[in-house]
Amino acid sequence: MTASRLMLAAFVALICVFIVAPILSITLGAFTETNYVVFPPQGFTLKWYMTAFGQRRAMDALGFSLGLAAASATVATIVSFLIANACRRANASFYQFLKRLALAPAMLPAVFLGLALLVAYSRLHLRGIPALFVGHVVTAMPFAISMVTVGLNGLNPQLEAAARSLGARPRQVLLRVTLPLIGWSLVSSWGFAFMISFGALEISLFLSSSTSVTLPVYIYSSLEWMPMDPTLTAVASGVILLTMIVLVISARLARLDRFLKR
Amino acid sequence: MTYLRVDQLIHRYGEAIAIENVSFTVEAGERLCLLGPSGCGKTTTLQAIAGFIAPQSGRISIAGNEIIGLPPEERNIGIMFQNYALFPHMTVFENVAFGLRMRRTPRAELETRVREALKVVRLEHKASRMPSQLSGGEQQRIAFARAIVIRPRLLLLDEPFSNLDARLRLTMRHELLELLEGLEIATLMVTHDQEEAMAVGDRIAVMHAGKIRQIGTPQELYQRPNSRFVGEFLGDSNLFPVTNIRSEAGVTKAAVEGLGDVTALPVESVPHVTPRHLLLRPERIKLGTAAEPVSPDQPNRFEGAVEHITFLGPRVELRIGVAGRAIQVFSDELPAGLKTGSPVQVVWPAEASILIGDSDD
Amino acid sequence: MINTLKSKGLFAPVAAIFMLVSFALPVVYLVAMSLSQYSPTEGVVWTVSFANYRDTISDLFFWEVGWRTLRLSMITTLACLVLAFPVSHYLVTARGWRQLLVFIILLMPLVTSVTVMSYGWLILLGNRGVINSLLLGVGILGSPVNLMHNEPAIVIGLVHIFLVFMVISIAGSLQSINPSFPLAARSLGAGPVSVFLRITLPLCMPGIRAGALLVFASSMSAYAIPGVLGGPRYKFISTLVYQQAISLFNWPVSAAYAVMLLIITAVFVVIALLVGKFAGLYRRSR
Repeated sequence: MTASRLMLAAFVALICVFIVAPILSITLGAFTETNYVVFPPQGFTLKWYMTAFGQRRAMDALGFSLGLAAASATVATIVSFLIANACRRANASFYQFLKRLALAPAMLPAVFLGLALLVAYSRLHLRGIPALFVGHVVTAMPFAISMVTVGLNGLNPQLEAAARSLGARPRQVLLRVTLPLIGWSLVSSWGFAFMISFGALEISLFLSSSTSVTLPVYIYSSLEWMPMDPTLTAVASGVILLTMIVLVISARLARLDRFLKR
Repeated sequence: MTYLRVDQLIHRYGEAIAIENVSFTVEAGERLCLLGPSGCGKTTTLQAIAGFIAPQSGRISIAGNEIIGLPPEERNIGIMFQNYALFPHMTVFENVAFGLRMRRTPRAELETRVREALKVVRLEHKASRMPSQLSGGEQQRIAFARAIVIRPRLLLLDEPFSNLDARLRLTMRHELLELLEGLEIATLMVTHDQEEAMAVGDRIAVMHAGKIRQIGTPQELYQRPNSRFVGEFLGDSNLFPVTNIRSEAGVTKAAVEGLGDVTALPVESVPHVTPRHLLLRPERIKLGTAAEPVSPDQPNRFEGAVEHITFLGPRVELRIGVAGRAIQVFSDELPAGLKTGSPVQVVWPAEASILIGDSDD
Repeated sequence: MINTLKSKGLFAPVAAIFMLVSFALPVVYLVAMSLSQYSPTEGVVWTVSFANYRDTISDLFFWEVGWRTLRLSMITTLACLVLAFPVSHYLVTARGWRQLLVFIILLMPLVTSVTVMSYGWLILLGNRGVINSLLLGVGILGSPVNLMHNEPAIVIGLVHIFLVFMVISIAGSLQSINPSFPLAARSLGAGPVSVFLRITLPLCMPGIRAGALLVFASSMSAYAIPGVLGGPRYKFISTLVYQQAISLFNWPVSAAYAVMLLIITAVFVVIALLVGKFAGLYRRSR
């Protein structure tokens, strides 16, 4: 490696340390023996994780978030596929517009969307879980539809034409050719949607109620009155672990590095 | 019997006309090539026949049955795509079997027919491989097997050799011709390569700007092009603007500036076409010198000088300057001692002078 | 070759309806709400009045918060731009597993819950946090330094999350540059700095624009990071939106704030795009 290459690598390593620092401090901080988070952690214990498992409110929030994220990711992926697939047809300007609409939440303030759903769904008397669910789907859609679009773009359209010329009806083309070939992008898209929904805060702050507390809301409100609590740190560390697993799987599936290869 | 009949096909993309009044027929067992530069409408025509686009007007019928309105999956047409379009997630066997599976062919019959098709293309031993494990030539053969195993009434070939390098192209072409030999299917091939079209096609339809300019055998098209476009598109040519076309004592003559009068083929009077050019194929011109004169009976003889000689192996290309014009000549027999600057006589027969109209007539 | 495949004809409209109900309509409703009034006794009083907007525009406090939001978002965008270039360059030229690894690391703050990230910074920067403890323990400090609850901490938190947006955008542009261009420039006598300023940078403009837009818009919308890392003294506009709606139940004013946030963000993006175009034009005419 040349000197300049070495310097570049060192710089990137530094940036990585910067990125990883808060993550590391949580993960390691949860192992401390002390009653408050200290770094370097003194001792090594898993007792805070055990305590966390025993905290009913935390576990309820975790369970709720998991279920909500799974459901949101599923709907987001399906709707994204429908829109992205429709965009491939000729005369698809309406669906192109829909696609841009689906991408919009990424650039809108989360509070904007949260408030909009709050006021609109209150009017429809659909506050609570329906509104929360819709909010999560909309928040996750930009990521889902980006990933699905990438998958569909990589699909050779001649393959579907060949299948039709051989006698396959549109539904059979979808099941036997399209979906098998873009399946990876659907799974990856689900993964990203899951992570976004699982971690979404502002939307949930606007639309949560006492019976529908998501894990981020739980953590955020706990930060107010019990920061540096190792049990909370253990919970946060659990979030990191889960997110990392889903991220690595989704990133590998999508072969994200592939898109940056010259 | 006429297998495929295309009648007055018109298709527009928005405001732009892609094909206009395209009509032709293909007989059973015949190979017709749609030939033209990119954008001429040949692919649009193919897509209309395959059913991927619905033309605004016109009729398409196979074996007498009208197929416009029928979705692609019901037309029973075999298609070979430009990049073969083999399903990457299925084995060779499953690829070839796909069409039969869609037709719910019973298992035993399906197996027999697939194996038969694989035997025809000599690839039975690779039945359980994946397409990515095959060479380009093998992929083409599998694509062929997949297309014919369904016993189609018509075979469409979409620029099958366009992304192969020159040498491979030749081999593939011979293989395909061999495979097509035994079958009595009507075949329509789309290509922009005129050599390919002439090698494969029993007849060729030359297309330009959405219209068919001329249909005929390769020989007819080459020796009697009906327009400047067709003449220039197929093979090399010398083109001279002409004036004063007349008939003198049963012989057609035209005046070319600088050369004088040239004896030509009689013009078949095509309505609305005024001949404006004279087309002369480089290989029909013979060269003679004072020491070695040639063909004393040819009516067209003009004096000139050699400007450039290129030796290409099987033939020699020369550029001869005659009366201020550069004339391209191909020859494999040259008078001895010819070099740049040598005075030379260019000679050609009357039938080699073809009078044609402009491109857009 | 395919143009009309007429597949899934039935289900696609379902997606359209979904988008309408879940997104388009609520947004319209929100804008309508912003034109209404709120009274503590009656709740929302439906009118069409720009009173909320008039009040907001003349509210100095709102502008103080708004200016901070703008300022810190621009600083964040700039910081991301500077930091991203080397990282993007590394990303497109790295081999094998390194590329995926760096990519995953950069993505982590974005996809992990923002609460967890803020908490992480709390642990690191707090008065009893890692850095302070370290410096106290080693003896460099006599008493803990306030590393948090100020504006730099907010910027650090924002850059941490949104850097990956800029990296991906710039990497995309970098990658599409024909590798022969810098070679041609070098062969014509340009040094590395010249190549960067005259070839690489201009050709990366689309990526820079896209990345800056994303980072800027996302920073303007931030809520949790300013909340945890800035504390009650350093609010962002999103904080105000939340307070009005949830603490004060004043939905119309909250809606007006939310719409104002959107407008301010949009205005600045347009200004930036225009300035960019103008600068480009000026350069060309020289």
